[in-house]
Amino acid sequence: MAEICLNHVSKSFGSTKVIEDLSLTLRSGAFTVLLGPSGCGKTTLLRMIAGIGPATSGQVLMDGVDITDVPPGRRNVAMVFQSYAIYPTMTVRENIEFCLKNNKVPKAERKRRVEQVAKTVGLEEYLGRKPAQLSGGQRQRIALARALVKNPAVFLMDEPLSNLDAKLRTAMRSELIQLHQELGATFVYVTHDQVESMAMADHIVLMNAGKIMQQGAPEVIYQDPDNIFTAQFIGTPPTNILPVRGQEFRLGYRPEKVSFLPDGESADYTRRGTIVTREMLGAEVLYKVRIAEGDVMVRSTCFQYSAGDVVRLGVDESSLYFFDKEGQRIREGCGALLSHLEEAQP
Amino acid sequence: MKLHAPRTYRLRRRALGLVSLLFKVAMVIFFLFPFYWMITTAFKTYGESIQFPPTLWPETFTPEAFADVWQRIDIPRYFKNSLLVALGVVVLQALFNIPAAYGFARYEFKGKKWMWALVMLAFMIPTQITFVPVYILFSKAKLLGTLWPQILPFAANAYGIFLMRQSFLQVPDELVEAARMDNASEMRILVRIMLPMCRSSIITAELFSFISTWNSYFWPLVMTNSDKVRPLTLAMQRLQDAHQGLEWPVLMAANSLLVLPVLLLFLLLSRQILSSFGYRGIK
Amino acid sequence: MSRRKPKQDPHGAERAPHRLTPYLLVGPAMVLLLIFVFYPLVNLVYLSFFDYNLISEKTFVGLKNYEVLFFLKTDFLQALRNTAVYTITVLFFSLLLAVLFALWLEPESRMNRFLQKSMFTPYLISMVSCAYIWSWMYDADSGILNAMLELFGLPLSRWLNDSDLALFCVAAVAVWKSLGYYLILVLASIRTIPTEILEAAALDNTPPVRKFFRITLPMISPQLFFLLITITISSFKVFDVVRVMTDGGPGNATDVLVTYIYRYAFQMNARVGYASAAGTVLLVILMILTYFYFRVLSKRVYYR
Repeated sequence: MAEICLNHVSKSFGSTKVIEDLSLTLRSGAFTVLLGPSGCGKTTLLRMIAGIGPATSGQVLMDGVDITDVPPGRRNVAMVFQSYAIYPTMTVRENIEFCLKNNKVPKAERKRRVEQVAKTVGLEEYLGRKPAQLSGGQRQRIALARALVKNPAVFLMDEPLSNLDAKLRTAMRSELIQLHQELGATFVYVTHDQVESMAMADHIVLMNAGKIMQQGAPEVIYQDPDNIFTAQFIGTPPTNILPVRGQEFRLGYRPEKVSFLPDGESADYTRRGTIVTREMLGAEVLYKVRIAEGDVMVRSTCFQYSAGDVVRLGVDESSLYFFDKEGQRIREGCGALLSHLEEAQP
Repeated sequence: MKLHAPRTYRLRRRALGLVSLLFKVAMVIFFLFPFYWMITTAFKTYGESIQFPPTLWPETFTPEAFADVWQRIDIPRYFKNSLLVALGVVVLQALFNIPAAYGFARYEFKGKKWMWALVMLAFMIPTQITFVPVYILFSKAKLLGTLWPQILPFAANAYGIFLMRQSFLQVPDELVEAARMDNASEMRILVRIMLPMCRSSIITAELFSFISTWNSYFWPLVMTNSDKVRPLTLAMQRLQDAHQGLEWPVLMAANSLLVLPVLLLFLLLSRQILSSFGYRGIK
Repeated sequence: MSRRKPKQDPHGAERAPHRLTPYLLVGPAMVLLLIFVFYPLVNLVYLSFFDYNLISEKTFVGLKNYEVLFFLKTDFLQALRNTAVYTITVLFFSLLLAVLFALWLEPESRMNRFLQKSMFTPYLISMVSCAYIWSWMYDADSGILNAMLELFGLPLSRWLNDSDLALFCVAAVAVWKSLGYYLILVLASIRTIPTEILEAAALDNTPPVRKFFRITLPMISPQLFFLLITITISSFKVFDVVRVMTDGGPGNATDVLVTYIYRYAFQMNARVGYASAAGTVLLVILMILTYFYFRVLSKRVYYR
């Protein structure tokens, strides 16, 4: 268990600045997910913590100790790479054992720890094999075992599940959550998949273009977005963002918060529209509805509508977000803004 | 786990970097100094060249040695021979290798397998093995007094065929099929699609042929019997034979003339040459 | 023929629109290879059983030439031994230095690229030129190497005139000339190792020496073996550098197979049959090496 603290770190590759003056604290023992679109700098942050891609400036602290210049092998961290980075010329056992050997762990203890870890990840039978003879899922487990056997204070994971097929991914996801609960170590997990991040994280750090857009518990990130980026990055389909006639601010609401109003009823926010497309998702159905301000997505359990139908949409005040023209959330005086949302009479 | 003070790591890295840089400079000198030494010697007088300790830069800077070379041997003729042979090889290789490589890459035909095996075998047979019978061949054909013995044996080059076939194979089939659908003739496919797409590897192969022919020594030594057809690489021998005791400035002057074209070529194209040689290695 | 299985070819070769087209494409080059590679090859082996001096009639002598080579004269065995010593020296230093330099120059930087370029320069220059330059530097009376030894107060060497040293002086030039090329090849293969694997090794706190022996070396070993065979073959056919620097001397301390064959074929009364026998021996040696070369090559293709 260890707390990681990044102090005003920057990173540039040549003349391109990937991260500029970023500060972040990762709570000890938490499962933190660094989330963001590709190229947002999340992997760069992870590599800084690992020590394999040192920061151009700034400090990395681990439990208050400056480790900025400490080589990666001496940082008490373990990393699982997206490509697994398994040593192809070594057997599974040699792969797992390699770090212990480097750290001069006695042979008997090495054997005990390797076998214990192999059991944890279900690789006991394959210890003598070469990685090339194993499946993608098994290789993923080698990478995991190699990290586990170090018993590190911090686990770093760079999109470890992205090379697995959908079924295996979901299974591994819950295994990792369970593992985190058992070990209680600090997990830092990088992904671009918002569903994965919501499912696994205690704490999400959402990044874009080298900056932190918002951080907090998954519930907070989902229900209380700070800005348009967060509102649109989290959730499928993304939050509807609409202009408001004659006003500078914009309005947002999630597709799943929209309901179809029976005739005569009205809500805090009411719009009349025509169904453009209908996508069947199974438990729900997704409609694209054309209203006066543009097209909005609606996720609903009402299956009866089809393209061309005229409907009335309603959203509760509590589910409406207001954003200023920079895209930042307006939190004060929303009640007053509500009056601008009157539906124009045709 | 014990952590050293951060400064220790930084200092150690710095010191190592400095030692490494010094050693790199020394290595650059080790690999380039001989050429520097060649050129400066060429501009020294004979007396200065054998003086002890040697001077790093000519005290009397004189092109005398070059004039001497010019006077003693017919440099333009040697130069012309070298150039004609190298260009002849390059042109003939383009005419013979490219069609052959294309044939092996894109056609199925009876006997293809063993013909390809022959090409691969030829790739492995160096000229140092075949030179006696080839000499007899040219001597019987009464061609030893011409430039042909230096050109013809290299007109078809197994390695060149191999290289170009590789790059023809890399052109996606869909592209050729699309061209056929557009009713392009075979000739047009080769000229308008294959050659432009494989341009860089063709240039590499030709450049390599030019340089290795220009540099060749063994083959012209064996295949020539008069100065009329000898290339520049053999000219130095003449200077060596001319006197007892070697006149190094004169030899180095002639050597500079031999080195210069290739050196210039490398200076102009070093990036392309380096990357294509690295690439060849991986293949 | 081709009609029966038009789609079978793994390289996607097309069915010939005209039956003769491929032969017209491939034919000319094949004819040249037959004339200048295969006919001479057969003729070489054939001539090795004859006594022949280019002018008089050939007389069949059976295995006599081989008997003379191996049992009656000692100079051929000397040349064979010299070639082997030369090859092993060149091989050892080329591989060792190429790998060391590649590890050292692996990080991308302007200085590293410049050094690579500098090291590569001699590779493009003709061996004749390099040999002349080094002969001048090795010169026992006024060469710069002896001048430097004197400067540091060390005993002078006779370099190429020293029969114990000459072969190694020649080998040093060969290593110096080609090292830059081998370096680039090794460097290219080191760069194919995924960076994540090296980063994983760094995270595993791997000491540099172990990292090299357990990770880098096993991963570049196929290419190193390939290089080993290439260097061996090119060393066995060494000629230019020896001919220019020592011409086999002093005595026959630096005589190698090809200078030997050349001497007998063109200088010593053109004993073509005898020289052909020596050439056949070289051919057999190269064939054995080539066999290993293809074994490795096919294994690599299979491996990928």
